[in-house]
Amino acid sequence: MPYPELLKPLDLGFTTLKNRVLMGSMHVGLEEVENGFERMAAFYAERARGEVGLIVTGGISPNERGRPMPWGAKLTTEEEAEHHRRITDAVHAEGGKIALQILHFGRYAYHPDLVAPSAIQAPITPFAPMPLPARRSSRPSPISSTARPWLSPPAMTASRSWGPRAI
Amino acid sequence: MADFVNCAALAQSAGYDGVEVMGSEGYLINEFIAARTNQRDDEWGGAYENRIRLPIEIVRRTREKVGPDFIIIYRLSMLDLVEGGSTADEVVQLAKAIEAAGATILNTGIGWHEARIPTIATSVPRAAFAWVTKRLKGEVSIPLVATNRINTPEVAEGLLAEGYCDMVSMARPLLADAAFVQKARQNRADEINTCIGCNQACLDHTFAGKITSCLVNPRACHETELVIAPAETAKKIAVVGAGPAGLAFAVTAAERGHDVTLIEAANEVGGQFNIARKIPGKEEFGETLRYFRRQLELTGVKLRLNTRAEANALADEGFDEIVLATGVSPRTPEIDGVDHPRTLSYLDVLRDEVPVGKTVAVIGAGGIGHDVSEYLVERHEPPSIDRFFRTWGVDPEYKTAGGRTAPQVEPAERQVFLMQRSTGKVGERLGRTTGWIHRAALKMHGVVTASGVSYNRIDDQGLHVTIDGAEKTLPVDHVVICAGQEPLRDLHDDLVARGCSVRLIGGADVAAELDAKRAIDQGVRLAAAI
Ligand SMILES: Cc1cc2nc3c(=O)[nH]c(=O)nc-3n(C[C@H](O)[C@H](O)[C@H](O)COP(=O)(O)OP(=O)(O)OC[C@H]3O[C@@H](n4cnc5c(N)ncnc54)[C@H](O)[C@@H]3O)c2cc1C
Ligand SMILES: Cc1cc2nc3c(=O)[nH]c(=O)nc-3n(C[C@H](O)[C@H](O)[C@H](O)COP(=O)(O)O)c2cc1C
Ligand code: SF4
Repeated sequence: MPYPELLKPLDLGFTTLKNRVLMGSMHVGLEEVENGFERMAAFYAERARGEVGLIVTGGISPNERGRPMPWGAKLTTEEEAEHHRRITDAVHAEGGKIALQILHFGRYAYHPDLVAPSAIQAPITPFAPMPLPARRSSRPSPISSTARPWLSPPAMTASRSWGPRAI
Repeated sequence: MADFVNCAALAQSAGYDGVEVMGSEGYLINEFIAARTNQRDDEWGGAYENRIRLPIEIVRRTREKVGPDFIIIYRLSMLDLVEGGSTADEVVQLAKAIEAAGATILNTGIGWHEARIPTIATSVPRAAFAWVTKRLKGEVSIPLVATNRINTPEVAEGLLAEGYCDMVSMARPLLADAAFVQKARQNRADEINTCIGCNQACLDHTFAGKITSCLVNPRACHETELVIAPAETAKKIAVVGAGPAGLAFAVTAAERGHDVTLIEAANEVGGQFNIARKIPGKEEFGETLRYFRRQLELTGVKLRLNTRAEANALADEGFDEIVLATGVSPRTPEIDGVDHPRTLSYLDVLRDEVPVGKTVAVIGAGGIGHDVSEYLVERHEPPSIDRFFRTWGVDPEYKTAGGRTAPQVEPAERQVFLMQRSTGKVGERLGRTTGWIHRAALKMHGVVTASGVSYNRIDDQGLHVTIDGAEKTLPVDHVVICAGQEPLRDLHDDLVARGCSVRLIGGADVAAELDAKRAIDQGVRLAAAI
């Protein structure tokens, strides 16, 4: 067999991955578009059919403030979880396995309600973060997009200031 | 914390086999861990033990919630590459704590987004950062995943066989080819469409708020919309020009069952990609040509090399469709003395390897102007991880927090002046996530840049210019012209006049702002529809 190490199964105890390839997390921009779940299902299923051992989805925020931008994907309710069924079913139908990446953007978020451990602005973002309150935090209030019409998707697309310089 | 746990539980209810907790790249969790970004004085700040409490608690509580039979990957920043990042010992300490908290797999994170060291660009040698993961081998007993620029099965196999890691992560390579693993298993590695690390259609898109795709595989993330289905009626198609556009069209059309003849004037396929791959740091571009050459064989495209297509002969062969992918010709600007012997075109330098003197002025600071400048200042050697780290200041001994050290730049091979006519910053319009690397590389090598330049004359003294109203003479040995390109489509009108159905793709269609992303995308899309 070619590549015996690469193709060797990995036993995790309760489940076995068919080989040593993990598809690294990539936020692909489909998370936020119309028919995105259907398109992601097709995208991931094709990789599962291609025999990837374990797929990891792009980063999904665990709450409002952790999103990359105000309309960025989050997973906080059962209703949102329901949409993900499409993806997991499609991948499982191809004999693949898939994990969801939980990514809180912290001070790299591109909206003014960003939070971080301390109020230190990142050199690559236009907003300073609010420090998370000490000890037990109360739930942050949801971001109201109507209150900030300038944060609509087109404004963000047109912005040139957002972007990592260091990848 | 509760939100992370809730999110994981929801993922489990949605049928996921696991979650990955993102703890690297300078995002929230990583911000708690690093002294750079955590100046808290409560129980989540201060000593390292406190700063790593957040990830440990998240993993511990998630494990409690999801039960034992659910994968929890933790992506640990093993090399921050920023000041105030973690030390090598701290990384080990965190890894052990995360294992104890209940993680199933440890994935590697390299570099924060704000770090000034390239970590995934084309110029990063393959698997350059795998040693970082290897340092944890033996320290934890859960599987370790190595990452970044692992783009062939050979490299992946080597890392696993040599004990660098237990799994390899591949992100972009699976955009480039969904069947990567399957092809490896079937011993068809030479058929893999390899990721060349350009970032042009993936990361650049993501950070511009556009849907991700892939330069070498436009179907990536467009699976439902760009479908390659068998053709209803097989046509006899001629393609003129075997650059990226013509190659992409030819193999896709042939895959659909069309009878395709590909005609190329040169003695090899690839067009300008053969030139691009000569630039230091763009060696990967050769993989795309290897892929296409193999696909030509597999799809049965009839290839005619060393053949310059002529309108009459082409029309007489009775093709149903003729696709012109003849590319571009370099534009020669109107400068007094532009035909002086010390003037060269980028083709003279890159394709024909004409000897170039020690001082050079490059006219035109677009992508090609930058590439030519890098070609002229850098020593030409195969990519080496050591050399890469020396140049950019990565410390493979990991003696400092964050793993950085002072860069040691090799002396430049030449003095280069890179100039543009337009005003604005030189190199501003290069790729969003890679432009800074090219600008930094030129700066390191002492390239002098200028914008708003008018070119007055080229003569025996050198290049005469006006910058900011002041006239200057640059006593350079050579002037290299990189001043844009024009579409090359002289066959078009003759063929149309003879009643042929003719289509233009790639540079032959539009030369302005041309890149291989557009050339390949246009080729594949036309082939899917024809
Ligand atoms: C130094 C350099 C670096 C580059 N770097 C990048 C990069 O990083 N990213 C990127 O996206 N792009 C890059 N490019 C640009 C990229 O190579 C081009 O955009 C791409 O090659 C255009 O493809 P094409 O198929 O339209 O034309 P070409 O690649 O120009 O191919 C045209 C082909 O047609 C043939 N031909 C012409 N006339 C005839 C005829 N009558 N009969 C038969 N054959 C004919 C030519 O011989 C040639 O092989 C770079 C280019 C250069 C020069
Ligand atoms: C388009 C794109 C989006 C990415 N999004 C994420 C993400 O959401 N979460 C993450 O942890 N890494 C993300 N990454 C980084 C990748 O997981 C990976 O670390 C990087 O691409 C290097 O690996 P590669 O050379 O195999 O592509 C992204 C990369 C790309 C190209
Ligand atoms: S666009 Fe370039 S870097 Fe991104 S996946 Fe494709 S080949 Fe790789």
